[in-house]
Amino acid sequence: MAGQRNWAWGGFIAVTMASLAAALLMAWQAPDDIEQGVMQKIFYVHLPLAINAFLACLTVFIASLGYLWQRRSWWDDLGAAGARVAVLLCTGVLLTGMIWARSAWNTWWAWTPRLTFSLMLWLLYVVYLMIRTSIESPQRRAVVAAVYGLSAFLDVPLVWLSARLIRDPFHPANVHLATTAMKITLVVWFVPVTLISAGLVVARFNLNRRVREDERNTAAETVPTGNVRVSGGIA
Amino acid sequence: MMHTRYVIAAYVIGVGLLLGYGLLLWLEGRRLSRRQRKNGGGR
Repeated sequence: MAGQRNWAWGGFIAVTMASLAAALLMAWQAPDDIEQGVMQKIFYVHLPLAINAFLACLTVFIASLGYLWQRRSWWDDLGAAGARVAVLLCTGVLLTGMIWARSAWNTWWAWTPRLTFSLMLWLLYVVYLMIRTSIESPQRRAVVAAVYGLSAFLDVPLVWLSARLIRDPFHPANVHLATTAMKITLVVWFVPVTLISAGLVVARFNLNRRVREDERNTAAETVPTGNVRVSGGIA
Repeated sequence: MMHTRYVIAAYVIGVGLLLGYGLLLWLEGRRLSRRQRKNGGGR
């Protein structure tokens, strides 16, 4: 317990310091872009959110594979945690992207390939969470979620490749960072966003485990002897 | 000035979402601990 608390404090201090460094670099060190001006600075939070969203989706994919292979509730809880964080990060990507689009291209949304596939990704993981809440049986829920989690991941390469393979009038395949200060700022922004995202997955996973254990204990206390009730699990 | 507002809004939303969810998880954990203590079980 004390070790866990030390980890939490260490993480909190690391995140705070990294966030401060990133914010200071973004505000004062990184110059404005020649073409887009100050608007380009949205990129420093937009890209780390997007990459971490992909990593969260990958977590769901690996957890789904692990569950189908080993049938352990551990994997199911990890998948559920990854999916929630994936939805959260995708929401951040879409919203920051929309704000950038509004100011850079004078439109909140355009049905271009990358934007459409990104919206699809968000929807796919929202549906994943809806599937989890709609199935009563824990075993059935875990299997269906795992199969769905595997197939939902197929959209990630589509998001990645869409701007590269299909001509996109708005979203560029790559954003060119002209100076070293801009590149450093982007790298530094990855640190707090990645730390917070990983921390959220771990925290949600631990909470899922605790809820499952709690439900198991409650079921053991309430169900009369002779009837075996399986553990509830996380919707 | 207008563009600066957009940039600030993007950062508030991007970082705020992450921190907000973190806070939600912390509250949920506390609620669970309290419930477990009340039931006399748990860790």
